[in-house]
Amino acid sequence: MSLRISRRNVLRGAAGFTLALPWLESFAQAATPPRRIVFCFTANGDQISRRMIKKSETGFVFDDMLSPFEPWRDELLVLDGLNKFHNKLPEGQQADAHEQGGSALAPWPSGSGSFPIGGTDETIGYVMGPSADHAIGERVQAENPSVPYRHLVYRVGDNFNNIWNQHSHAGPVGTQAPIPPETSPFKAYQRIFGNLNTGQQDLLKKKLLMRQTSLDLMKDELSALKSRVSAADRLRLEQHEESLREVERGLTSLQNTLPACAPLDLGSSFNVYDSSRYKEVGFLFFKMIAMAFACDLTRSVQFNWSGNTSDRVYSDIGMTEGHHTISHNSDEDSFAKIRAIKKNLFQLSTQLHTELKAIPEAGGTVWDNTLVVHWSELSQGDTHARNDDLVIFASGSKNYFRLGRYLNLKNAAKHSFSDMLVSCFHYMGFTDVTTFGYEALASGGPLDGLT
Amino acid sequence: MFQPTGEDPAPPGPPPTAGDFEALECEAPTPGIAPMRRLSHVEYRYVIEDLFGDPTLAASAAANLVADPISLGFSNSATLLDVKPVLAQQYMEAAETIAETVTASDLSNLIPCAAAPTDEEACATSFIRSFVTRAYRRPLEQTEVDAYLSGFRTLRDAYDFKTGLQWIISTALQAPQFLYRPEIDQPSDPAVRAVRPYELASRLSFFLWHSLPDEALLTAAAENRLNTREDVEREAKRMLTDPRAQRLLNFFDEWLDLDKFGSYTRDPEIYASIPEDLPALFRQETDTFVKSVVFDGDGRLETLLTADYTYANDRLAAHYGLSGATSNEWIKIALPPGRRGLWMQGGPLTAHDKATRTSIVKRGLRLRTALLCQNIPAPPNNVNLNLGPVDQTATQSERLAQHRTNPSCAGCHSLLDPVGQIFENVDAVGRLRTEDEAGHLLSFAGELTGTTDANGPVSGPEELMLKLAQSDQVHKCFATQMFRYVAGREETPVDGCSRKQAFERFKGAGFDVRELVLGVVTSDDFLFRATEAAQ
Repeated sequence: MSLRISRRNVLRGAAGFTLALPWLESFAQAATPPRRIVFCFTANGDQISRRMIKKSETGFVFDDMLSPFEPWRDELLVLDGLNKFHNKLPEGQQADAHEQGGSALAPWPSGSGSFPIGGTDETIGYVMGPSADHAIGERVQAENPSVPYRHLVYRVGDNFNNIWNQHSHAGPVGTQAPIPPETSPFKAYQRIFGNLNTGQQDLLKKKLLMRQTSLDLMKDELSALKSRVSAADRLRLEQHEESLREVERGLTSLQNTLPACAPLDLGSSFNVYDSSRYKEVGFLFFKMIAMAFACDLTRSVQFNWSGNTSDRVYSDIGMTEGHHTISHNSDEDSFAKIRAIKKNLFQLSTQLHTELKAIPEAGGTVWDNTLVVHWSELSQGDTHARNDDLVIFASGSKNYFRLGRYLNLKNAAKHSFSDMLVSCFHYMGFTDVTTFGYEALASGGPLDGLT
Repeated sequence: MFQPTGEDPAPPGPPPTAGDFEALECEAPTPGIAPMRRLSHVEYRYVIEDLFGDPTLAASAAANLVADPISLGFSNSATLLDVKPVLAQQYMEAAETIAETVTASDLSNLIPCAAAPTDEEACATSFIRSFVTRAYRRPLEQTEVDAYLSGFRTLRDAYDFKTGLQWIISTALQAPQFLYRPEIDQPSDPAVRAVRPYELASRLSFFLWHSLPDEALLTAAAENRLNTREDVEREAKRMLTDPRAQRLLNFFDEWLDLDKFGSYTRDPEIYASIPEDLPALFRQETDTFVKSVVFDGDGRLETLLTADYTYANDRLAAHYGLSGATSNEWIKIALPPGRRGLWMQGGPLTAHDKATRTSIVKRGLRLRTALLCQNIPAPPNNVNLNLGPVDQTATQSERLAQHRTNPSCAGCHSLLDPVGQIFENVDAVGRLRTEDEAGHLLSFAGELTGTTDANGPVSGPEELMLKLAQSDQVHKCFATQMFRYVAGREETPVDGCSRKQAFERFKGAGFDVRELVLGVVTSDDFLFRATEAAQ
């Protein structure tokens, strides 16, 4: 991109260090805020039969488990009966229900690897293609090079990563490339909002010159190295190059900020892996997500309350056994606990809506231009079903989806999870997308009747 | 000598299974694939420590990096470790912090000529030649020196000499040639080539020290004294006596999942007044014990698995109900009947227990996967897993026995539950007991099944550990775990001969772990490389 080259020239231009960079001007396009998307994950499915008391398109009545969404009902599109169709993946290329389900935002076959597959003595690796949060972010940046971060990936809990707690994937198609999520809101804040706090322009200029000069050397090294290694290693180096481009974009982010873009006070740091503090960690991420949108740092976010198969013990609501452990049982007592856990997580998730709504933007709020997609790896835990999923779209956007509705898609012509992801691409303006992921999982085109 | 003859080795015969390498006839080396390694975060930490001699700075820099994907229980996968945007930025910020910290005070220790440089560029050049060479672990090419010098000039001209030096440090610590360990094949290389001396120096140091080669190793590489199996053995033996070799404890920590304690949660109503830092105490116990056996003791796997002693300080001893430790000093303490060896220490045994109870299933699973290298399927999908209402009068073990009346569960759970149940004499926080959480009396006799050579009834955990310590399957599994750790990947049939070489040395030395290490570094996989064309 020529503008990037010109920036380097400006920086290299010795004396002045003019920072009035032409490409930053697009930040000023605040009149029509862009659309954004957040995928919000809660683990282990729910109880299919106890979602709704009345399944009517506009007169729907939530059962208790979903009652936290009631105050938002006019801004919801409740999608019931979606099917992940993982049974259509090629033989030997599907992981078990939790594993494949947890990566359902990346509807691709799984590669070979060493993770056990439920019910077989085979092993499996990660999915071989990008997840929707990654792919949408890529499209956003292709059209808006001023957006510094392709996507943000956050998870509450766990300071290790495996097939059960990484839901975002970089691809490209045919490649296993899970994206380790950021787990500390404090570090994640410093990473993307760090520039906001430097009142000292001189220091910032110095840092910029150091970084840009380092990046130039690193890019040259990568380019020389790439031609001398195996094809698989070359793919990793290309990923590294892409990462450096993102770092480069981030260098000068937040210099021409939008009106509502302001530093956040996250309070004092604490042990984010202390499972009794999961709620606080999630809420801090929500604040950051809303502000990252207001600052146009990214337009695509994947947020996870946990990994899939999560066995967190929700002792704050009286649980003594782990979530996943309970979810294996089919007795009423266990289901009551599952409903209580999910109700709790849904209640907490609506705080994200509230945060988005708290930031003014172009006469409305950030919420008015954001879609939140609530999803899980399973439909229901005891059966490990993935053919009767609940996905809830929540959005303040008035001009796209027809909101305030419940749709039972179970018998609709299109009801695949990957069709739902296509609808997300369309919401974000990428209406040329007709399928996303492995073809057999998709029907072609977005879900019908949403807009 | 293992210099290649220039002829491609004969293709291997029919592929053996990964676990069946003893029958192989091995002649020409057949190394498995060796993807380019990226520094693991553990390695990154020790590299920073060795470059600047500041362990605190190194630990805090590494702690800020986003966790890598775990594969096979280890954090150093050869194929999955890459540099995604978050990590690229974290490397950059860490490099800047380190560069600022180490140049904050007197520069003359790090850069002798910097105190009063008569010629700034000459000083910078000499620093590039010493520091970046160390960071890259090989002599620099002139173009590399020029690139660093050019960057130095940019920063020196815009700011000052010190900023230029800071930039050199900061750039080297995030440069691809620093973060990766490339082993570059030449077009003239045969399909299998000897690993070149500087590459071999890094292979040795990153395995044995988790860090950079030292001066002696680089000199050996430069002087062509790293060319034969004997050379490698000589260097490895020297390196094993260096304190840095104790970083191999990380292999044990990761194998035993002691590095995954982040979410160790126990219900305070059931486990009252346990030390707040119990996971850290457990890790220290196992590390101290392993160090005493592997570095200061007989080094034998049998001792690791069956020792009738452990190490504790006053707080851990009090938690265990052991006497003898009266201060914060870690001392050797005899174990009471009922427990033996590292597998029954608090960390390894309880790492995957539940908040409110032991997990017989997960203990059984860990034993099968970590000690016996078996692959146990996870529960089937789309099958009703209803155990029915919990019977409050039954022990966990009895409830699991009811569970196994369901044939779709029995297949795997008959491998997990009976062996997990044997360890029920240790509660979910690592203390010996005779009753479970609900006050039921427990029994610990059981039977080991499904192994190649260790099946049969046992009276309790002590006898089980004695039995496992004699098992060929356990010996081979331990060697397999180390292979995976060294190679950063799963074993394949092609690796059979290399694994056989290492295992035979291990076996011949009464299963001395140090001999296994020497066997690994003198095996074909370590000394040879399948070139790019062959991959």
